[in-house]
Amino acid sequence: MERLIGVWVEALSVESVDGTTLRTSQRLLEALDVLCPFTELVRLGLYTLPSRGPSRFFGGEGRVLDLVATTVREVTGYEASLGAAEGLFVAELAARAGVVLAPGASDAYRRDQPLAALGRPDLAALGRRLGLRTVGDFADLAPARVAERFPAAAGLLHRLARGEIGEAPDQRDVRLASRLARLTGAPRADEQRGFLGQRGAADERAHAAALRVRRRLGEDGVVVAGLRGGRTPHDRAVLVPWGAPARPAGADAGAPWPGGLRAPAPAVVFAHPVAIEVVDAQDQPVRVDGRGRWSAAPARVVLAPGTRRAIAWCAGPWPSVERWWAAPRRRAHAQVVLEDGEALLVAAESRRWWLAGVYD
Amino acid sequence: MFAFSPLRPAMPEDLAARVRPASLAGDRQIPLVAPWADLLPATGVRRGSTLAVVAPAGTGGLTLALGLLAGATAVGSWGAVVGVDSPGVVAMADLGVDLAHTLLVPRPRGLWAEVVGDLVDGVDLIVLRPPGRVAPRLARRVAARVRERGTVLVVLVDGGGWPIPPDLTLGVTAARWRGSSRLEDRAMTLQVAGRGGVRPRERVVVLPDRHGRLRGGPWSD
Repeated sequence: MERLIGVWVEALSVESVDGTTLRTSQRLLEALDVLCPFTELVRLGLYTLPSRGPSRFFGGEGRVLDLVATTVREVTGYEASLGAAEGLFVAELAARAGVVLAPGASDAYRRDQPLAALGRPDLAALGRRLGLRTVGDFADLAPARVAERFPAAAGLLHRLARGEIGEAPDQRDVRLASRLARLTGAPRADEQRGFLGQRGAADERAHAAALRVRRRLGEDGVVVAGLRGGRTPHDRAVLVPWGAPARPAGADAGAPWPGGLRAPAPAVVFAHPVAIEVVDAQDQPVRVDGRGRWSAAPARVVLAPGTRRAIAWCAGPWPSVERWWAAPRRRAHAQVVLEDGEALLVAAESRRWWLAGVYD
Repeated sequence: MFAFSPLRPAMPEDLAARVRPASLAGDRQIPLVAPWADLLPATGVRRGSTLAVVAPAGTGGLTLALGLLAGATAVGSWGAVVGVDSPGVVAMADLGVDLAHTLLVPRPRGLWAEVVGDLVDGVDLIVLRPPGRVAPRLARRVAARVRERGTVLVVLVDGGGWPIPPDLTLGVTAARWRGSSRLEDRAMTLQVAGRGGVRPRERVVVLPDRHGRLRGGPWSD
C-alpha cells in the first residue's frame, strides 16, 4: 500500500455558505500541487500526497512535512495536522492524530483504533454488544461470522479493518472535483484548451494514461526523458519517473560538450553498463594507454563468457579525462562493428571494458 | 548480408532531409512529418492499425520504430514506448522524438498487454517491444483494443514475434554501417508490405545519417 502524507485542516472541513471554504481549499490544492503533482483533495479538509517521490526529491519525509506545514500556514492562515501512513484510511487517522507512523507500523495502528474509527456508529454499537472494542477485534472475526451477524454493508468495512483495502467506502468526496472546477471557471477536462503551456485535452488524456500505468507498475513504472550537457550518450540522458518534481532539462540544455561523441548516437544506452572484454587476435586483453592508443588491435568482443564475436571494424579510442567532483575520471570510448553487422559503443575505464550502447 | 563496408556509395543529394509539413491527413490518420511519411503508403498511419517493424536483432529495427514515433510526436501527437529496456535518449532526440510528449515504460514486466491497454486512451502512437513469445489470443485482444480506440501500435519484432498478421509491415532486409574515422551512417534496405492492396515495395534509406536522422531514397517496385 502506498505511503501517503495526510494533511488535515480542520477549519477547512466544514463548508461555509459564502463559498470561502471552497475557494481556500482550491488555493491550497494549487499550492501543494507545486510541491507534488500527485496531491489530492480527498474531501474538504483532507489532502494527501505520496511520500516517497517528494521525500527523495526534498531530502526526507521530515523536510516534506515542514514544507507542507509552512505552505498550509502561508496560504490559509490555519495550522495543519500532519501524519504519514500506508493507505488512505490510516493516513487520515494519522493526520487527524498528528502522528507520523514508522514504515510498516500502519497495520498495528489501524488495529488499535476504537471500532468507531470505521465511521459507522451503528456498527460500533453492535460490536460493543459482541465485546468487540477495537478495529483489530473486528478484523479477527471470520468473514462468515461478519456476514451472519452484521448488515451487508459491514463486509466492506471488515475488509478495510483487515487491511485488504486501503480506503473507506465514503472517504472520498467524489463530487468535489467538479464543484471546484465550476468555482474556478476552469474548463472541463474534455474541452480543448491550448497554448502557452496550458494543458489541452490531449495532454490531459496522456496524463491520465500515465497515471493508470503508474498505478499498475508502481511509481517508477512510467519514465520521461530529457537531455542535459555531457560527453557521452549516457551522460546526456536524464530519465526521471513521470510526475517526479524534478523536470528533465529542456532540449536546449542538451547540446553535447566539446570533445563529446558526435551523432549518430546508439539507440540502446545502458543505464548500468555491462562488463565485457575486448581482446586481440591472441585472446589477450586490449588496453588503452595514457595517450589514447590501443595496446594491440582489437579482434574480438567477449559479451558473456563463451560469447565471442569477431570485430570487423573499429574506430577510436577517444580518451577523455573529466573532473568528477574531485577525482579525475579517465575513460576512453570506441565504436566497433561486429562481423554480423551489429555496431556497439564500448568504453574502457579503470582497466575494464564496458558495453555502453548498441547502435540498433 | 549485414557485412560492414568501408566504401560509401554516393547518396543522391536532393534527398537530404527535407522537412515539409505533413499533408492534411484527416481524422482517420495520424500524420507523420517528412521524411517519415514517405516510408509509408499513405502520408500517415491509419488510426487503429497495427504496424510491425521486423528486423533481425541489432539491424536498426529499434531506430526505425523510434523514428515512426518521431514522425508522429513532431506534429503534436503523444507517444509511448513500452518494453524498450534501455532507450537511447540522445538517439531519440536526434531522430526528432518530442521527449516532452513521450511516455516511456521500460519494464512492463509481465504486464505489457495491460500497460498498452492503459495507454490506448491517452496516446496516439505506441511503440511496443513484446517479450519473447506472445500468445495469439493476447495479440488479438491487444490489436482489437488498439483498433477500437484509434491508436496506432508499432510492434517491434526483433527477436520476439507477433503471432497475428499486422496491417502493415516494415521490414529491414539489409543494413550496413559505413565509417571513416568513426561511424558515419547506416544504409538500410526496407521492404513495406500490407494488407488491403498495398503492393510490396523496397527502398534503400540512410538511418541514422551522420546527424542521427533519416534520409530517404526513392521506392523501387
